[in-house]
Amino acid sequence: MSIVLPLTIVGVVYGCVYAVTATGLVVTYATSGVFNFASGALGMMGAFTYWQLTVAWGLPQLAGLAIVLLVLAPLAGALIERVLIRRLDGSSLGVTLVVTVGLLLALIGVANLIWDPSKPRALPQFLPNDSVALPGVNISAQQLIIVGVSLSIAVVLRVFFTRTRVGAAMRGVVDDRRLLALAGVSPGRASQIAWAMGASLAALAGILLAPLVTLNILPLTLLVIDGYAAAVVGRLRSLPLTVVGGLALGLAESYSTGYLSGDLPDMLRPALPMFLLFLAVVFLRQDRLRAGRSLSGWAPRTVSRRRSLVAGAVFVIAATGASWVLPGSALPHFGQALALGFILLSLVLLTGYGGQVSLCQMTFVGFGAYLMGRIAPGGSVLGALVATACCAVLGALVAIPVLRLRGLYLALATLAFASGMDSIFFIHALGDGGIIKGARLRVGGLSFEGSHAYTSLLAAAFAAGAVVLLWVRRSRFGRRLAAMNDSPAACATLGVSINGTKLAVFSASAALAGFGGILYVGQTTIASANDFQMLNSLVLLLILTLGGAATVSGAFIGALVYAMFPVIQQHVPSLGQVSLLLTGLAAISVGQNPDGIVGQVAKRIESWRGSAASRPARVAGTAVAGSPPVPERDRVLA
Amino acid sequence: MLLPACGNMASPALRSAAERAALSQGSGTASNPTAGAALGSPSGAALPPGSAPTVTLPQASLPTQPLSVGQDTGSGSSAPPGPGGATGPSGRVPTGPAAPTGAASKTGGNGGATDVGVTATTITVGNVATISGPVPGLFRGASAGVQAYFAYINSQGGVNGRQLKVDAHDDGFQCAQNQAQTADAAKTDFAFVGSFSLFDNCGATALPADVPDLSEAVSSQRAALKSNYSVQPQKPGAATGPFLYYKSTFADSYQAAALLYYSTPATTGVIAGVKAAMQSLGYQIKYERSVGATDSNFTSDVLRMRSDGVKFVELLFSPGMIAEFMQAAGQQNFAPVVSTLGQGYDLAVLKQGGSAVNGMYTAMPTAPFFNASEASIPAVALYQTWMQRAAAGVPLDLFSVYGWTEAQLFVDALRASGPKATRAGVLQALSAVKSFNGDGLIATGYPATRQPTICYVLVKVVNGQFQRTDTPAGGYRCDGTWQTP
Repeated sequence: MSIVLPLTIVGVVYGCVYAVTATGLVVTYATSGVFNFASGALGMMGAFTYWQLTVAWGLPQLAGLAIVLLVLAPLAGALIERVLIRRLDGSSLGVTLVVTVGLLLALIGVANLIWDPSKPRALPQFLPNDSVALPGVNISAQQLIIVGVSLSIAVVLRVFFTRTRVGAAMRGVVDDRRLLALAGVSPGRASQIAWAMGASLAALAGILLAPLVTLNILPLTLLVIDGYAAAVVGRLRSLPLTVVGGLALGLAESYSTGYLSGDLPDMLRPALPMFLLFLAVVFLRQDRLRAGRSLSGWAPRTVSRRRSLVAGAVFVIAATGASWVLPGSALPHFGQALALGFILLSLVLLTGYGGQVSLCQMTFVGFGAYLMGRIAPGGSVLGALVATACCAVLGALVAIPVLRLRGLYLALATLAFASGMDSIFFIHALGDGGIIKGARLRVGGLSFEGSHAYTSLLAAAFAAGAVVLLWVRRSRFGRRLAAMNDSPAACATLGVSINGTKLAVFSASAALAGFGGILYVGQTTIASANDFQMLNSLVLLLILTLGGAATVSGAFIGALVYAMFPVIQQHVPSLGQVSLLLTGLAAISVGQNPDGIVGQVAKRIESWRGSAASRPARVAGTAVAGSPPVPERDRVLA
Repeated sequence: MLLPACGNMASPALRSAAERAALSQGSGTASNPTAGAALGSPSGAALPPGSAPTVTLPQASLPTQPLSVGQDTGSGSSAPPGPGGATGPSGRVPTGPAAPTGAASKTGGNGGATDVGVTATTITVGNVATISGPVPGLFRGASAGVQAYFAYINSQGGVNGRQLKVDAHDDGFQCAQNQAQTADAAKTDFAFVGSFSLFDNCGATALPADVPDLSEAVSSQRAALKSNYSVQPQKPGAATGPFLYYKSTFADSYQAAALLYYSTPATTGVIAGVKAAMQSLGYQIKYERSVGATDSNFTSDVLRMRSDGVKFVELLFSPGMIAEFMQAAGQQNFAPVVSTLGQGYDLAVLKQGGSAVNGMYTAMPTAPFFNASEASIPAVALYQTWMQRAAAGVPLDLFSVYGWTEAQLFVDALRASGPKATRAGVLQALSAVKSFNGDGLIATGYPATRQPTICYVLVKVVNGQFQRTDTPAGGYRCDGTWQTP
């Protein structure tokens, strides 16, 4: 008997599963312009809360559903909007991403504290004994409910958003809040309703899916990532098209499982959702994404060559001195901070200066470290340079298909690339045990095997990288980056080659990240594939934003705070239990302080000097000829 | 983890990493080759189909007389059992309640600080396990098992007048941290006991050769260390015993088999071994697939298997996935013989799978330990009692069993090395431990000869409970051979 029809039915069912996971994501994006990385975590919290009410406390299912979907989830969504999201109005893509990632981590942290992950739990299906016999396949009532809910939501919400005044107002929030206010609609209220709906839909997805998968905190949270492709097919706005995207994904998976077998299909199949995401991002028409804002609303002063050289020298001396003062247990962490700081410089160039959000930096880090282990396990500088050059080439190869993309689409394309590298390259390339052994560089016959010596080398590398970046910022290329950051359209109008600039900055950034990987694994002496996985790139962005995205000092401060945290944890072991929550809260704080630690300190200093009030903020966009400096707030919204 | 604290943050969000962790959560895993230990056999030819299994029984009661390390009371003390041969009672040094413990202190001659981590009153051992990270509490059983056994020994007066202490470390699911903590602990701790991490290969690179490492090795790199003594050593391959059983019990099932697994660098040897073991017995593998970390659609697999006439399915992935597969199969009224290695023995399978998992088989490398009825085996009772006393709140699992039995092996070796505890003495004593079964808590392994066990307990899910099946109470089946890929 042919299994085409049964496989098709199964593909449709699981396609609707993907569509359901993407629903909350699309609703919040379409109505607030914020890509909510925490959507899966909201779904997970909804499912666990429902389990707590109905299984642990024995409430009837309907009562549990009503409490979660009509009370708790909407309240949570409204609260998140009021406390976090509303303050992000006008913020850059990087900041919004970091805040929602922070929310994701915080929710996982809270869930881990409430529900011990080591204890098994199960959420029973709705109507567990009922199923429908279709040709060649039985479909459970739970699956039918998911299909029904998925299609119903798509239809009902489409009508809601296009035919009702409230729905139109909610979409209007994305386009122009002020215009909406002039029309007598409260943008805040509309946005709050949207987030309440989004959270409720996310919780609904969690409750529906949990009985089909595992009621575990992480898998349930991460399930939504596979739904990104469906959401992008719907251009993050259209729920019917999101269902179409989900169906395409579900059918592709079902057919590939049914008809393709062998090592290659097995290796590629896990990457299918991200492959489709990449294709969707690259080939589908971009919708009205808000793009072109710089990551930071505050622009640091440029630094002269002499001052940067002096500062670099002082830094090396200070770091070397610190390496002798620090206790032995803290020294490796300090070294890691320096190497991590170097890696973050790659993001300063790409994101801080160029305004391009990449979510695949750790892939380049891992690729550089991997190549170094293969090419020059003895630590040859020449080998390091070759590995770095290969990373630059890989960066260019990644950049070419995404040159026309910007903003969130660019970020998602890089996310898909990173995920694909996780599934295909890192899992399989590292061989037995999946580890990379690091080598410490040998420079001109000089060995840096000792901890203090290598710390000095790392400090020198960071200082050199920072000096070069500061020089780049002053250079013609740096001005082009600033211009591209500020207004790609204006750049193109003035004849500045956006594509060439993008290609160059991606390539240079990848090279820096790859070299940083060599330095980092030289410090730790060992790494695993796990270290380079996709969402570590989000953490990189998070750390940099905490420190200050547009500054080299922000890169070091962010890395230092992050790398030294385990040292504090050694003295306060209980911090380990709440580290996830603390990190999430720190990331959320970026919403209040988008300029990071360095930006805050700098602004305080400027304020003390009494100059902040009288001098308009220096604007990266002044590189665009002739444009007068504008107040910071206006520039951010420009 | 490249980023020091990412193990607590980013890693959770990493799909495959998280899944690797989830795979290992609970008892027995695909990513933990220990699961494959249930099927290990050192050597020998395959039994003919239908051969009656040979059953080995552990000591029926706790021993009352101390033996020297390496002395084997069974027939297979210095060499692994031959094909189908009975291993007999364990050859390990027993550690029963009546064993003398504080003799040296009474005589006042333990030598004081005789080596690193040793004082006149204490011996401190290191333990590096994954506790925080993607799945908080993932392998906390590993250190909890050691602590429980040490608490039991300390309650008896310790060893030669010394109380035993655990210096527990959490690698946070980070390779570099595992390495660093192993290096640091090696400077201050006498030995490593009961460490368990998916990154134990990272720690292996920092482990000095003179430090005894009594840890169930997950990676081949760790297992290759001369100082490593696993209670159930691993090597690439799998045992044929369970497949012999299925073949003889369910006629024709072997002619249409399927294999589903989650592959990681650490599990390729086990997967290839299982495949080789099945094929060596004539199993026709009609369908096989490496599943993804977040795969939840097993219905397509079921449709394909049904189309191919599959009658036997071997599952090598996490408890959650096992339950999902069983639910998908039940929904399609597809009822093949389903077998798992140790990873199927997990309460999560019962919780999530419900009635769909009834009839599923699991080949266990240890005695079952969830049910109160298993307390009829003294070693299981002792383990259950002291886990409750010393590690209340830590669920019983395979990792705590390994922690417990590694600690037991350590204490045996420590006693055998004499009152003046030295690393060299313990290593020498360990080198004489030809076989070990923790008084029957685990199937007999061969630490010194580094041969895996071929013995197992066959467990079947009946009415939502794990039940021994076709395995005598307190005993193990040892009816297979070891098949290398």
